[in-house]
Amino acid sequence: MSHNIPEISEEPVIAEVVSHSNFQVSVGATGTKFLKEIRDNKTIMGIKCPSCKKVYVPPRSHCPICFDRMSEWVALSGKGSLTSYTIVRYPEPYMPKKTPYAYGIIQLDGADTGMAHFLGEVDLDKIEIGVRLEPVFKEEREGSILDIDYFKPSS
Amino acid sequence: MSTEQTQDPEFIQFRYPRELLYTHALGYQSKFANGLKQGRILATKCPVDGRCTIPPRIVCPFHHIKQTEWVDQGQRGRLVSAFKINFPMFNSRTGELQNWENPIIAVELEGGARMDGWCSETDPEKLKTGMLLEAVWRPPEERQGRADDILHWSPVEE
Repeated sequence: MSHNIPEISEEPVIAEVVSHSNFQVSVGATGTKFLKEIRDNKTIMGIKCPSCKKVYVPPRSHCPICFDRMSEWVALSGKGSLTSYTIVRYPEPYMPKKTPYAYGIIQLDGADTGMAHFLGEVDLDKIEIGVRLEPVFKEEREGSILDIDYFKPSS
Repeated sequence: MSTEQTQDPEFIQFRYPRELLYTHALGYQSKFANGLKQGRILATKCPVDGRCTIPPRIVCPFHHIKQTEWVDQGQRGRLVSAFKINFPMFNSRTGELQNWENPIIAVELEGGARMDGWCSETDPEKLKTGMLLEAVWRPPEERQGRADDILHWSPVEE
């Protein structure tokens, strides 16, 4: 390839760009109640559709099937069963856990939906679908889903 | 247990401050970056109609033909369009909201290519389409081969 400005180098340039972001997200009225109950009472709440009676965890303001507004809250025991999981081995910035760790979907007793969270106090090579689990809450809670530290096998 | 949802004065919000480093090869555009470091604006030229393109492209987007000729676009150009942001906007270089005093402009360079930049004139009333502008560069030791090596464009009296 010929160029007519030979005095400017064609040497490959590697660009490094640092991108900053500072997202601010409101979890809304439904999310606020859900997180406050975890923070203040160590209670995981579901919300029940008045039409189809499904209980959603995490809660949402409207049933995605019936489109009805939901307002009936249901306190759950926090215990449930593992329905799926994966092992995260590759570290990325801003992960809340050090790899390797297990990340699962837990069907809480009394809920009709699965809830994703970390699995702890488990042998990563011996996790089984269907194992009974219970939440372990952090001592210092701030109104975040991470106030639940992880789910561990029920004793 | 069931409770009715009531108005709660507390709303939980989260902030997610993030700082991510992207490293990428500029490839064909390396010559453009090397030109910026030397205070020169280079564009690729289409062999069919002579249109110059910034940022440079290896293939003309209109004629789909390889562009092999580079053209120095000079240091001056004419104002094509301008707009000013009148409220604080996010700055991805710092992660903070900031006020943007300088209008963002499109300039048609002496060599025919168009590019974006900042204008040193902060009063939008004084910006006229077609007015002559000149590139004001960062000091050579601060240039990194990026578009913001050009600090801004300043009006030139004719």
